[in-house]
Amino acid sequence: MSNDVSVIPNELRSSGAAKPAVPALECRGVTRVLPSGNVALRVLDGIDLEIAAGEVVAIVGPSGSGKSTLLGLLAGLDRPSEGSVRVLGRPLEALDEDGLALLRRDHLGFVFQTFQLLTNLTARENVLLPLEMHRIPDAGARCDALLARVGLGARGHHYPAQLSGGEQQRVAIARAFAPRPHILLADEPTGNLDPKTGNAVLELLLELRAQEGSTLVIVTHDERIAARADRRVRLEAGRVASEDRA
Amino acid sequence: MSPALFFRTMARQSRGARGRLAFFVACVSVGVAAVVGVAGIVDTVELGIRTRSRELLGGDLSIESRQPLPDLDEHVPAEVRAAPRVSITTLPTMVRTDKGSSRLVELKAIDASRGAFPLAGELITAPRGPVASLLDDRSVLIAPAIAEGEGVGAGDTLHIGGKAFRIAGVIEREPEPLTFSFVFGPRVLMTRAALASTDLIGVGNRVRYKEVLALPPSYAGATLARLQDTLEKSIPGGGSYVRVETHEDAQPALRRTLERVQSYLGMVALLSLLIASVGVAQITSTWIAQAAPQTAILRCLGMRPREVLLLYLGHVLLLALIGSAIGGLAGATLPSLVLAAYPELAPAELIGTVPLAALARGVLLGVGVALVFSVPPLTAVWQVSPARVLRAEVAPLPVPRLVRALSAVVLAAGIVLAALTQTRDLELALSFAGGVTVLAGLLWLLARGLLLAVGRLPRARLPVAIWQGAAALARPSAGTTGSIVALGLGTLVVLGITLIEGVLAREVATAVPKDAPSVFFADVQPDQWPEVERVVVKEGGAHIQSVPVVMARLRAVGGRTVEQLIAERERSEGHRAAGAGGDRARDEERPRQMLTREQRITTLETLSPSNTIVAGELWGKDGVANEISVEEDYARDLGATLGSVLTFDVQGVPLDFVVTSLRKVDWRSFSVNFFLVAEPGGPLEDAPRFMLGAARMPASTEQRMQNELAERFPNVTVLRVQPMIDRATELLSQVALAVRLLGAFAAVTGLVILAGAVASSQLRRAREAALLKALGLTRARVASLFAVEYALAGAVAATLATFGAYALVALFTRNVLELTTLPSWSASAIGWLVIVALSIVAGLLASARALRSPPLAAFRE
Repeated sequence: MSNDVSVIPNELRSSGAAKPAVPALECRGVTRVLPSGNVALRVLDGIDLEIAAGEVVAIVGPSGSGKSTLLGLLAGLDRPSEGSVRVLGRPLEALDEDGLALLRRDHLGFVFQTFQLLTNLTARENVLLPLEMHRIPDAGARCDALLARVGLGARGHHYPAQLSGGEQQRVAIARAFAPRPHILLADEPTGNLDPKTGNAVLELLLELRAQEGSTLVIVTHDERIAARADRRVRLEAGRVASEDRA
Repeated sequence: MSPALFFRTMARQSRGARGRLAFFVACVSVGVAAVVGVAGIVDTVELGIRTRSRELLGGDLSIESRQPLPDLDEHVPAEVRAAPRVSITTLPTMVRTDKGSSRLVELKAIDASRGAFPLAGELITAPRGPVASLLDDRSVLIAPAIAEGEGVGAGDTLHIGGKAFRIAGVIEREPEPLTFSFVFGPRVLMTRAALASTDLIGVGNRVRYKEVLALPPSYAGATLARLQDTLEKSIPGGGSYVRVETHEDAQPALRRTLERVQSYLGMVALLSLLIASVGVAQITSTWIAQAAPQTAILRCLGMRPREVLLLYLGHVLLLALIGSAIGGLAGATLPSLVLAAYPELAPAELIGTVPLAALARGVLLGVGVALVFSVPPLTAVWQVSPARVLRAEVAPLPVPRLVRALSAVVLAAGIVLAALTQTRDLELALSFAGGVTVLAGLLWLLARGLLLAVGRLPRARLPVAIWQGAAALARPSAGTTGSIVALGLGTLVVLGITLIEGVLAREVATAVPKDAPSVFFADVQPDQWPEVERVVVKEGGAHIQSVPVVMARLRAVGGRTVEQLIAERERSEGHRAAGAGGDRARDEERPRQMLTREQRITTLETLSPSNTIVAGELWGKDGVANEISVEEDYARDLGATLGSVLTFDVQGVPLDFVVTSLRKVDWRSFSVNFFLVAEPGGPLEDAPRFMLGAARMPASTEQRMQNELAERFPNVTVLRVQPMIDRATELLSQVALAVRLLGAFAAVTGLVILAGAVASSQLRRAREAALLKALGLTRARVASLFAVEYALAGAVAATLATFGAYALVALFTRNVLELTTLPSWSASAIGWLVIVALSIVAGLLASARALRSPPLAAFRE
């Protein structure tokens, strides 16, 4: 990718010369209580977790174990009821909505099960938007290179509705990697795809991660995907049931 | 976010907004069209006045008085003495044809010995020719109305003031037209020498004397104003009884009337725009709710709430600009249409010109109001949690208190500012904004109440179609409350105006009591009255009255001269006007007119039953022979109270009167009544006087009686009441039509909003329709189910509007107009039915797509 322009400080990159002094993600005693009818549901209960920069971590567990809720808290999309979350050493509780937005803009990338592409924008524009928000020079070239990399070089002018599920997810991956985020958070990235397409998308995700050196957190209930991670964190009933390394 | 990225993203996000665009643009354009239409018409008429200012004045400078003017040469600079000048005398009088028919006309006698008539503009006659060659001292030119009405033309004879005149031709167009002023009849033009040969100029005639000058070109701007000032100071009575006007003043009284028209019609037009903005708010609100998933993605990608708000606000700005431009252009064609229908309002060359200032103002107002109304619903972007990307049912985030407060302030300030732009009067703008807000709030509360009641109708006892419609309407997220309020407000305006017009028309028709005079006789010499009375009696006249009238000018009140009083009032008006806006200052002009008008004083021993003494005593002071009784409002205008000494100038003789009683007069009795009644036997006994008579005539003999009086007493002016009532009614209906048309803009906007609300729920409706069709209902049956819902929405709006309009009009007629006539229920009922029918049509049109789509397609969407 000759057009790559790094926007990430080197000291925060894991692949490369410097190792960061702080964990990429850190949870201390994180609890999330959500209302469910007339009762309060403890979706997460005292989670302690530390993810190093450059690490690939899979969060696994059965449905309702709190995987996506934890991902939302790590991304600053939601706030914990108790405990603290730190992203690149910055406590999220100290940030307001604007601060959280800027943190996501500058350091985080997302891939979702339902793709979450902007439907009024073409594939190319979806990838271009985060680059433009970062005011990256040659954003167009990087965007085109990324689309080519995910195999959609000729489909940039198509709207999401004109693409298949696998193609949409590849656009989402290109968008997520476009500004070269420190941390990439993926929520069931192959959940809506057939096994073959899902595998192809997973390979693409891991390849790009390896190339960019980002930290990757994947929420999945698919053990085959989890097996590809450096570390697996198993959640059960809102608690960390076990952890194991590859 | 950089401006370039902002505009790029905004443009990208605008895609797929066709449906939203159509209704948003329709709402804004209807409102802006009303605003630009009114402003454009007023601006064009005003431009017409300014471009024709010389023509309308008849020259560069005019001096006008109710008394013969002094020799101007003694008052003007030497270089002006040689300037072309025309002397004009005008008065209403009777004319009679050889066939014996008579009518009231406005006579204009000119002396063009020191210039050519007209000094400005053009007089077009048939046959063509210069006035000097057509008109001599034994001929007249007549208006087309006389030629057509009396069946006379060039070569025929017209009898005026006891003399016969040959009709030299018909006036097709004249400068200084009568369009804008109240006159008694059509024009007759003659020379001043011809007028002098009649016996019309005598005591009591309502004669106006005018000198018009065409000045050298150097008399413009400050030089012209200086000459005006010099003349006002130099001519006795200048600035009070003698009015000096220049063409640069451009008909100030007329333009003040136009300002009022702009102010009041502008408010009605603004109401359309505000109602449209309710639609804008509603469409924006639905849009933001539907765009929540996209908003969450933008937030997830790192956009801050305010950046997302700006993005959507930019989108609103774009739509508002398109809507305002379309509405502005549509509104800009209105002046040309109105001028084509009423060519006397402005010169023909102004037809087709675009009222640029009005257009710019309307577009700015449209964009501004649409923006401020969309700010509150746009604050909902704060509520969209970025966590929606993970879970759709995530709880909404709170909107910061500062944002909520700011959006409310922006909305309130926007409404007041918009009203201020239209009225140019802060007090009026605040009242308007407050009134509309309270009314809209009340309508909203009532609409919610009615919708709740509709939702609780006993479904088991109702036909399926009705309860289905009721349930759909009362559903919490139906989103129709806003459109019901908008439609209700629009209907309320149209219905309110219709009801007021109905009340006034009935009041005018029935206001004249059965025994009230139907004819007045003015300028009757005292020795002529017995014969006039005999003719009246012979033709079946009844309730005959006659009183002597002495013409006078007020010279002083309590020792302070009229000039001093005017100066004092102008000073205090200046202070008040500066603090309270122009409208109140305009209202303060009445006392000035009251001070300087020609006063008519009668002498009566006893008062008619329509007079009630409210202070003092009638002719109670023994030994005081110069008592005067003054109508209470008039006394207030003069600044007089009991005991005040009023000094009058009666034919050059100063006479003092003491105010010993104040009266309340029931003017609606249509009896002969006066502001000023003097005690008989006082100093007025020797003053020159004329008689004012009145009688109730059978309609069948009125014209015959007038013809006979015109033949035998050419100086007597016969004023018939019915034609004046007809004219007032016609004027009233024209004004009401204008307001009603503007109100219709508001009602149409309400319908567009209702259609917009229906269209924005297209997806839900398509699913409903699909489900019902899948259950076996035909398309027509599904349409009828929807129609019931729209009919109920229309019925709720129409019910609110009908009762609201009835209540407001009843309050207005009783408390402001002080009338006892109640508005008509039949007009309200018709209005109700029309709105319900239109609601069904608008709703069905908007849901046509949903009804057409096949069931499977709807389920897949």
